[in-house]
Amino acid sequence: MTYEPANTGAAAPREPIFAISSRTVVFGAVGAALYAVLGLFSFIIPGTQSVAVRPAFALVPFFGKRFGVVAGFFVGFVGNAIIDLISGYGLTFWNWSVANGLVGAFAGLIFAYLPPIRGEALRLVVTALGSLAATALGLLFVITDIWVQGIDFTTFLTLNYGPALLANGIAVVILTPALDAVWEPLSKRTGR
Amino acid sequence: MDVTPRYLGAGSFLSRRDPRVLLLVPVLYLVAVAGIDDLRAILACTVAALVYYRAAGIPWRGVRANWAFMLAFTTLLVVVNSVITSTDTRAGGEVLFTVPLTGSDITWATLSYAATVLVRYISLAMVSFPVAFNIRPSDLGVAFARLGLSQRLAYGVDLTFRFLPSTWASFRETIDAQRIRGYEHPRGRNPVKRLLALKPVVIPVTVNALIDAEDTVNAMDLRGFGGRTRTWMRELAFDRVDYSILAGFAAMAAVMVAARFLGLTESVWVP
Amino acid sequence: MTALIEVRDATVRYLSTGQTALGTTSLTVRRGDLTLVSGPSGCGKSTLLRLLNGLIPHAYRAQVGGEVLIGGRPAAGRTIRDLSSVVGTMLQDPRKQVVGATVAAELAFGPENLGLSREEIGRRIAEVAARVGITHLLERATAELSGGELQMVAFAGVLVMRPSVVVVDEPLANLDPAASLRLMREVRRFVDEGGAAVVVEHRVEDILEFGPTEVLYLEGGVTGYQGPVAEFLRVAPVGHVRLPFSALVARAAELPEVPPAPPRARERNAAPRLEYRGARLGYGEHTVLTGVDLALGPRERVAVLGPNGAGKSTLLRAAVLLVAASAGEVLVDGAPVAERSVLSLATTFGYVFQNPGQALFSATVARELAFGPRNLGRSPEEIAEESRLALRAVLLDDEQDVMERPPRTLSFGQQRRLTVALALAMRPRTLILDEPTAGQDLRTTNEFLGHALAAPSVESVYFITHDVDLALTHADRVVVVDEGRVVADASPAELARDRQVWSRAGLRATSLVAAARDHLPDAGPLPHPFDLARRLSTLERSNPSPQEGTAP
Repeated sequence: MTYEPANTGAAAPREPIFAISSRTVVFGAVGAALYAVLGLFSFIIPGTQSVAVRPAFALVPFFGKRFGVVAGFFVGFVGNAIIDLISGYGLTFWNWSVANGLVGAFAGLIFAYLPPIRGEALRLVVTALGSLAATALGLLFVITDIWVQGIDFTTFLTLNYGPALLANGIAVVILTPALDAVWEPLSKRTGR
Repeated sequence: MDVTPRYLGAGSFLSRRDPRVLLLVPVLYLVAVAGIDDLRAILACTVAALVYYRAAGIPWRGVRANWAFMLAFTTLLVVVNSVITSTDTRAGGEVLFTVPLTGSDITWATLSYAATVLVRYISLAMVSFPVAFNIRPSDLGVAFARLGLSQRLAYGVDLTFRFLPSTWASFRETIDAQRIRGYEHPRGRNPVKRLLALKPVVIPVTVNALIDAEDTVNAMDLRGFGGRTRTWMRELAFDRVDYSILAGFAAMAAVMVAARFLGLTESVWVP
Repeated sequence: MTALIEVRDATVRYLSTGQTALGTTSLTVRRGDLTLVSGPSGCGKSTLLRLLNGLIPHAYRAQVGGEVLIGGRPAAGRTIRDLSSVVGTMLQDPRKQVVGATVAAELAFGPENLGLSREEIGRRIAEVAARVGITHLLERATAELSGGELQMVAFAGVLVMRPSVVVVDEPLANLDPAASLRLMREVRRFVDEGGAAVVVEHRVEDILEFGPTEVLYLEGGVTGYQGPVAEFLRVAPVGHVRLPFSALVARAAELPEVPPAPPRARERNAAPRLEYRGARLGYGEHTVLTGVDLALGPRERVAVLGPNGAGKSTLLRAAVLLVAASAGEVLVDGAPVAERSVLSLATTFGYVFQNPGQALFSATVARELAFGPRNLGRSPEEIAEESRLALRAVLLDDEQDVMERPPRTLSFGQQRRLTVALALAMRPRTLILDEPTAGQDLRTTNEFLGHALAAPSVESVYFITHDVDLALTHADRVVVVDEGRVVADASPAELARDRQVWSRAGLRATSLVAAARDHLPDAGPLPHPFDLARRLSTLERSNPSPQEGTAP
């Protein structure tokens, strides 16, 4: 008897983008834990008062790209919420956690519809730009600060969205392609 | 360094509640206070928030730093938003003084509005601190599952807390492994260089976690994870007190939303 | 009686690589069987396990030939979930298997997934925890457990699923003998009480006492031997699996010649390379070792031996300032280590971490090798030359295009050798290896240590291990660490005779120890086990009385 699996379930190379398999759960949890631990470290860009770069933010679009929309959202949302929990802010900045999650989700969506790229240099550039786009889109959710905090649009742009996009954008453009490049040759080696 | 959330409110009134109460109250409170511009209405809600916060029994010593950060950040936000770039919607009335540089006029209305935003923010923090300090991390997964989140994702929340200490240990170990190769914590002013200098730490920690995760996926599949029905050993049930708290906050939210629709709270209160 | 597992002429080919990982293999496991599966790394053991527990073909894309019956019914077409209540699986590394944040949560995990009632789950947890003796751990966080405790918890997490048969992957690989033998005793009991087990392990000697019913030896995916244990000991490849010493003696005539050990230059009066004076070592408030007085020479091969968590790594990490002495002092080449920087110590000690993946981050091997020397400020020409020499010292230089390969795509054994090369590229005078054997088979282990010990630029090697035979065979001095203290410091032959050491909880006298104790002079290094076996076999022939210590 020769048995070719017809239904490989979780192991199929391309699963539906919103499917939740044990892989989604484990990789989401691994990513959220990584984001929460590494995300406790940040530094202020010299010359600015409040633009804090959180290098670990680069993990969010990386997980979205590699492990899908749901895992990407989970990493951003749960990871950021845990950073807030550990720092002790509870749910006060809940909309920022959603925004972080959306960055991962958008990265998952964007890269799900891009064809795989063979050339390494081009792949690095596309990864950087796609992740940056996901960051710009996802963080737009903090526009909810206008209602939650009662600020106006100018303050939203100058004090919330602008600095966040700048700081996280730098981290994403530099670290996400680096992570992705190292993972690329390993991603196919699992035998699944 | 401790990477698990601190469980500070042990034994308090709120810690004895169903964790879902602690997750739902901030949501209801947010509905209540969103869009209210009247300082008196906000102050009324804040009384409820303060009572709630006191019931959490969070020792002041443990959260001093958190409150200091919160107040500093909020004050900056409020000052920039309401005072310096004072918006025209609230203009009118007697000009108390004019901010140098920006030339914005400060009126009683400006100050009242600034106070409203500040108080709303502080009271929101009061109802959401208990989420951080009064829920056992191990209760979060089941709480989300019982609030209707996918069973698998809810377990993912539990799993994240399981991975926190091992991720932290792996992070420490990698830093040690790189230090003996001459790695030093990046300093200097150039943010790009500082980010690049983090590669020797961020990359191995991430790749190791991912490679280990393959085995964890197998281990979970091999113990039947992912079925349609799942039992949660932790049994959650609302008791009468839980229901009354939720009813109280729901009623407050309903009243405030009604008041907003009736136009009672949308104008800035000027004494 | 239906067999619990019946594999008939199965073959497995992975679709992702197109490689056939398992040739035609058959295996029958009945109640009361304890089947030992053995073989070198890459022999197809893992593939066989995946076939038994259903990961193949359900989670791995593979073409499966032949037939696999689990509990009398074909495995194909059943879900992993369904199979999981028949076949319970213990992974090699319990840290990857355990998913609960607390022990109670870990034990509940499987039954929760099966949707059992809370009462039933509670009953099962209480029963299994009492059975394997972990009731006192139930409320503890899994992150705080010792390796041995964690392995027992992982096993309990499998038992609560009430499987009929357990498959156990390399139970001895990650733990000291005492801890892993506790696990094996539980496995044996499970079999005796009506279950069955399949144990994958290349340390055959340690499994023998648990009475395996059958041995399946795989090599390159092909069945090399299948049958009773006694016969296996007569035919098993001696360099690939660890056999009891008596088996080596019995087969002395066919043992391969071993190359003479590299010369052991010893300078009696040289100043110590690394010296501890009344040192107390630990992390922050947490003290791990106290009262350490020890001097390790610049030209010695030292094994630091002891059970898991005894403080072996802490001891040697003090040499590179990753651990500081909170009392007493640590001296390197006669000067206090506290006055040195971590970087400057890199040219004295090359410290190789246990997990090779812990440090690899570059896109290519060449860049990975350059990282350390560049931090030392060496020129590109020097770096290129040192990288080349370092790769040659660990025999990675003949690997195709190795300099351009991404480091993590190398095999596990190659990654290990690469991490030694990373240390060598900084030109250290002493090499420190932390658990150099974890996760490797016998042949790879011996090869690896052989390379490291013979690295031309290195004066001395200190290595950490919980493997008694490895310490005795490869070192000329053994320092035993247990319960926060240095409890012995002797030559291998002296140590073999020190009965007090072997009575300690975390250590076990192997058959090699017994042989060395009974037949060797009481000082000095040990000959290679093959040479010792040959010597004893000649002795036995001239003096046919039974020899103590050579019985299995």
